[in-house]
Amino acid sequence: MTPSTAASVDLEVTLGPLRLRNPIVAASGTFGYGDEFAARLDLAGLGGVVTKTVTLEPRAGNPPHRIVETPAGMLNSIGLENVGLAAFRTRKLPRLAELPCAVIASLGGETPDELARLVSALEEEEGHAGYEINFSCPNVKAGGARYWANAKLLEETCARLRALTRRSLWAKLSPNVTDPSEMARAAEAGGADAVSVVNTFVGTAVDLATRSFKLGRASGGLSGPAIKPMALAQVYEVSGAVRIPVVGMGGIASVDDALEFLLVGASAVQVGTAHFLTPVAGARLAADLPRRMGELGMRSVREIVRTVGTAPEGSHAG
Amino acid sequence: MSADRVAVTGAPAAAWVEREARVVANALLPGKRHHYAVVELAGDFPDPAPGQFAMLGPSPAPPGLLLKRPMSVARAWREAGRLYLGFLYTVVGAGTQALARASEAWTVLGPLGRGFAETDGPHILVAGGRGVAPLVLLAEECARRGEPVAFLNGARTACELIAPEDLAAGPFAPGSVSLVTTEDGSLGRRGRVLDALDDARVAALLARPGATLYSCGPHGLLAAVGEVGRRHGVPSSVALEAHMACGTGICRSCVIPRAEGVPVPAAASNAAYILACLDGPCVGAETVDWEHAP
Repeated sequence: MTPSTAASVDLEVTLGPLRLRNPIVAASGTFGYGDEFAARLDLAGLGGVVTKTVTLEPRAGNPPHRIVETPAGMLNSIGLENVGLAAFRTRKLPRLAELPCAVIASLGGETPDELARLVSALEEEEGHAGYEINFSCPNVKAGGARYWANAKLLEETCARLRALTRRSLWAKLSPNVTDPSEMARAAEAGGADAVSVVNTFVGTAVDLATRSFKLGRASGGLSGPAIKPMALAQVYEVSGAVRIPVVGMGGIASVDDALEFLLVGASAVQVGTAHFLTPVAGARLAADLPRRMGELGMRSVREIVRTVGTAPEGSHAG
Repeated sequence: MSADRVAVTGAPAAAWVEREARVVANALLPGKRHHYAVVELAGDFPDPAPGQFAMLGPSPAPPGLLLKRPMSVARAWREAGRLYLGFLYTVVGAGTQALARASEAWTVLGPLGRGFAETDGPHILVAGGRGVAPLVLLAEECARRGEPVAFLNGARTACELIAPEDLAAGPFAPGSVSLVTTEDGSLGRRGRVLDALDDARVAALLARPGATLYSCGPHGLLAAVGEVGRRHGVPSSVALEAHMACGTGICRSCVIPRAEGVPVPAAASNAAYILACLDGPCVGAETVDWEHAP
């Protein structure tokens, strides 16, 4: 194979009406609203940032403890703590408009009505390039993953939101369902531009000494490298079931992790929990991408999506 | 002085940076249950204020370990253009075990959070166990300014009691009072650290105008210090501890419930919870709902 030079690697990806300069996006809940790190880090290297999930009203979130580290992973039970729509519009969006990368607003609601109100309100604003609808939070009483794990409801809701916006519309899906492809097909049928796969896996941890759960609210969502094999499998499955792009995520911590997700069918990827270890995780990974793709003889991100199982061009391997 | 005098929170971290640090020393303190590490950082690392903390992780990160661990800065000094930071910690789980094994390099993200309230009256410092760490830095800062302190240092046993001199900290300013308690009587006076408040010299300092209580240790101790402050009309600035993933306000993990009826500062990002990493770790004891704090 002929290694391509880093400079000649084509990183651009398209997700519905949205073009990203590269496929590396910061995942919701792991990068604030996007502006917090802007003063300290150069965000120009990222393809985009998904904000913390915003709900109609501010939310205080769940009681402590909200996190516990597990082998190669982390359980969280934050409970969608956020500033609410009004403060997001007045205090956050004006700053996000100035970020040197695409901003995707993550939205959460307990009903289709709430989501429609959020999208309608934000359609009056500038500063964001699209929406990622959080259909999959495992840590809230109402409007969480269980409520949205209903293909008909998901399709109708996506269709309703689709009618409200021409911006890129992504549906973030739960891995905690019997048939992830069914949910992805429902989002596609409803007009979503992309599906984000996966949110966290439900998990818990127990403290033997106190015979209590380690999290304040019994169970939480597992993220980090521990879930990568499961997330890869879901991305492969879902990307075979829908025509719209899949935004893949789940334990991505290195450029090689990101490339594995592209090979199994992701058109773009999100870096999440790795940002808690270091705020530069996503930017560092994006900076590494052209060099690593060059080494592997990959010329274009778009060309390698879902090419797992095919031999590299010019290689003699089966 | 007025009974409703409250501690002014220290200034927030102006800017944090993330740097590789060379581990200069990292070992169990002789005869103690706690580790002490000194790391060397490039000169551009900002000076930490007493009470501020850093997120620490082994470099390179060992496989399977995800998050850095938050630790108060116990000592800080500059020498030949480099910044040296000292951290006191106990091996309690996988993260601290990994730090104890990392003898060459750590990654340090800091300085983070709001430090102790800055006041110029008498400083009464109350340390519980390894909570002594940020109070050592505060006492050194006071010594530099020539301000005497009352340093009340308590632990369960002698091997859990860390004195400033164990960390090679300099002497207190003249006129300072230093008292040690252990619950089993194996070092200093037998009893709990707050018993030392009945010492006449400490009581005299506490009665002087502008006196402030500073504390770090188990949350039960911090609540008790807050109660002492309330009774004496003395503000108390206490350093909270919380499970934390990022240290920078992003993960929203390190929440401590706010006391009801206490005004929420304008800069606060959550009306119900104190975010230990941004609003703290040092807060006025009266702002915490200790009954529901973890």
